[in-house]
Amino acid sequence: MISNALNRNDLEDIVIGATVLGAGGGGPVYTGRIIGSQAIKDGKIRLLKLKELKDDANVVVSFGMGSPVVHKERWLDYDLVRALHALEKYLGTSMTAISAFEQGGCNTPLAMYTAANTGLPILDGDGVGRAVPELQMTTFDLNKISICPMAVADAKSRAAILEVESAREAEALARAIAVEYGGLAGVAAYPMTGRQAKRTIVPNTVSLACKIGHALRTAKEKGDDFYSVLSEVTKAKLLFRGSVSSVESRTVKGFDFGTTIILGEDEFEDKKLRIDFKNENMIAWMNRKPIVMVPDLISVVDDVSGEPLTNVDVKKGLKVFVAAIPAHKKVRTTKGYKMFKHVLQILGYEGEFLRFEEVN
Amino acid sequence: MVTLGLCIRESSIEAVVTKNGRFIIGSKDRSSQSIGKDEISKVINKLRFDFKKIEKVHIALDLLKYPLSSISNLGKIAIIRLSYPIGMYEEPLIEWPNKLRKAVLGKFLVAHGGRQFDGSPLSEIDERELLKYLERLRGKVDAIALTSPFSTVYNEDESEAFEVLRKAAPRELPIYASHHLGDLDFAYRENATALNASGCKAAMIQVSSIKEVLKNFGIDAPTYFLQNNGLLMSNEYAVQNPVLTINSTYSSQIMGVITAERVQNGVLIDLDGKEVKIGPFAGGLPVIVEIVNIDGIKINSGGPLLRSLKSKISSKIVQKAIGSMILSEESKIYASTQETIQFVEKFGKYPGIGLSKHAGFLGAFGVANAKIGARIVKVFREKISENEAKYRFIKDAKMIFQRIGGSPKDARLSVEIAPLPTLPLGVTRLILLVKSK
Repeated sequence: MISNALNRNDLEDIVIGATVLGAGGGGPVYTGRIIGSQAIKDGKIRLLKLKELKDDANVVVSFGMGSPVVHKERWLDYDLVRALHALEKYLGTSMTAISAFEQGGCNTPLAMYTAANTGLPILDGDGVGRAVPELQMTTFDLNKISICPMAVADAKSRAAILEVESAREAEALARAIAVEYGGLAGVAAYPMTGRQAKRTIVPNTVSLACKIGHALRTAKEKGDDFYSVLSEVTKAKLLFRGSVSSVESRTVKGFDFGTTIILGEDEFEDKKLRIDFKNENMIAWMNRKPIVMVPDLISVVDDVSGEPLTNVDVKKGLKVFVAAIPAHKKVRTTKGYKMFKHVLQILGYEGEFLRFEEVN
Repeated sequence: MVTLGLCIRESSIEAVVTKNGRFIIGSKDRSSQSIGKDEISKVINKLRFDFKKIEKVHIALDLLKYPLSSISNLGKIAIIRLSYPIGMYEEPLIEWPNKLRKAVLGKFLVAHGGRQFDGSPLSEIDERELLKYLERLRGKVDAIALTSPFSTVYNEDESEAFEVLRKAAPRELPIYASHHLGDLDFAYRENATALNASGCKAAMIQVSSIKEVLKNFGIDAPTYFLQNNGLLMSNEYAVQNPVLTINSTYSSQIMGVITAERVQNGVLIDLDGKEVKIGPFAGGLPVIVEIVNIDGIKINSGGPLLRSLKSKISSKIVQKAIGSMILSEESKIYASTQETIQFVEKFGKYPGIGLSKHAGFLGAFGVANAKIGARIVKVFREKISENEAKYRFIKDAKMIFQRIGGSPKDARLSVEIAPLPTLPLGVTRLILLVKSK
């Protein structure tokens, strides 16, 4: 189904599947489709398996930074390529492969765009296997791959190089630069060797996204149940089915915090699900008990159309199902959970990691 | 007032005569996808009415449906994007089906101008550059679509470029500016502007054909077309803004239920050929969403909220689709025709679905009773109250109302502060609804 030279059908499937993996976030999906379509048009996009990556390869992570709402009016394009070239110039070396930072309906195509416009292959993997709100929530940081030097570039040929200690510091500075650049910037970061990439990157996530998208698309054509096909491809558990009763969100320091309430139907009659998010879905509660949390994925899908929904798309009245998908084993660890703990505390959960399979 | 209402769809054509809003006589027949003049004439002829008495003609017709599905009669356009130095590498309409894109997009040019999210310029407008582009486009395209990031919030550059081009362009090369038509979200707005610019040629052909048919019956009355928000516009405005007629035949069915059943809120299920459409209405009009999906192409010029079930469907899907459209406890569910009920019941019994009065003629009856009006989305770069908006923009609203075919003295204006689909930025987004009393 997915060859190592991506085509338009693959792109559509990847965008849909990456939105599922985006767990409520991952960037505006339609923008992702446009950027991905442009990438396919611009050049061949080669998907490279991690095992095919040479140990001495030079890998860089390519992504966008800034306001997702600004991104709906003014797209990232050559900023991404400029950032990569700026980093190459600074390091005095050429890159040989690109990795996505995370999986998301927009963020995955952004890395594909860089790949298409540089002729470099894109790795079948990324830094976390889902979308996350903060830069340091990745396997790169878990495995102490330095985020710097980091290049931040815009469309007006400006580029800045950052050399700081931590991903948190880098995020703060890069966001400030992005604001100065008009609310958006292309970023090239986490330069690493092929050996380091093989050790740290969550593998096979682009091809997984493609499989998920393909499954949902064919289910729609055949009239099959969307959750059933999703669970065949992933190890998803049906968390909930119902009707969206309310969505509230507010922007705090550039992040979208909010809560979605879903009233249960069918086998979930008389039950209520609450999902708290910080850009991405962080924790779900059923009748006030936590039932699934990061780093596991909480994905909301429109039960009529089979379209996965970001938190921007979730609207009152929609009939949805909610699936819990386990995070990759590289992330689903004590250390992996600790990356998210401070967010969960803000959202009212102080306890330890709960594996959703073990919740009744 | 004697009105002829026509609802022209792929599956059927309905014609109804009303007098002061009351149903007098109706006729209906099947139609083909391409809907010829003969088919329309046949249905009108079946009415056997003294057509000299017709004082107004109201028509519901999706002016883009057939041109898009058959890729015919669409105009070749140029898109001039005011965004230099950004936006040069994202080609417009890139996610459109290849064949359609090739038929529509003649040229894409990036020009100086445009704003950042905080209003600061990307670059300064270059009048000479615009005129140079215009010369390159003469005789090569049928229309120009002018787009720019953040133009809904900062429309100065687009307005300036629009005036420069409009003054210099020949009459047969119309210009369309994105801030006149679309909402926030650049991709959807560019799509809407491009589709509108390209669709005008097809719209003109269809409107002329219908006028010819009416003339053959001796009908020489003012003609109005239904917008997808349930309000009417003049035929001249319809030719300039065909995107406003997307899904308007469905909206005409909704207006039919509202008038026939004297209800303000509810859900309508309508079977049109092999497609089932399910959507809500509230406050006496279709519920409107900003983003319309036309087979994967998204535009943000607005349209009725609806679920369209085309491919293989199950009883679960039908049930969920209906359930998702019930917005309030008072919502009753109506079917437009007996065939619709029969189709839905193939998937299970749905108690509570009622057949509307005048079923079978709902579309024509609905459009015959529709009123002239406009739904305007305005974005202000400051916090502003509804009252202040009303006070400041009553003149603008009346002007638009007049352009759309209404008389300013008949205009009644209401304003609501609308949620922003994007861009916090301290802006206020308002929906102004102006319609006939």
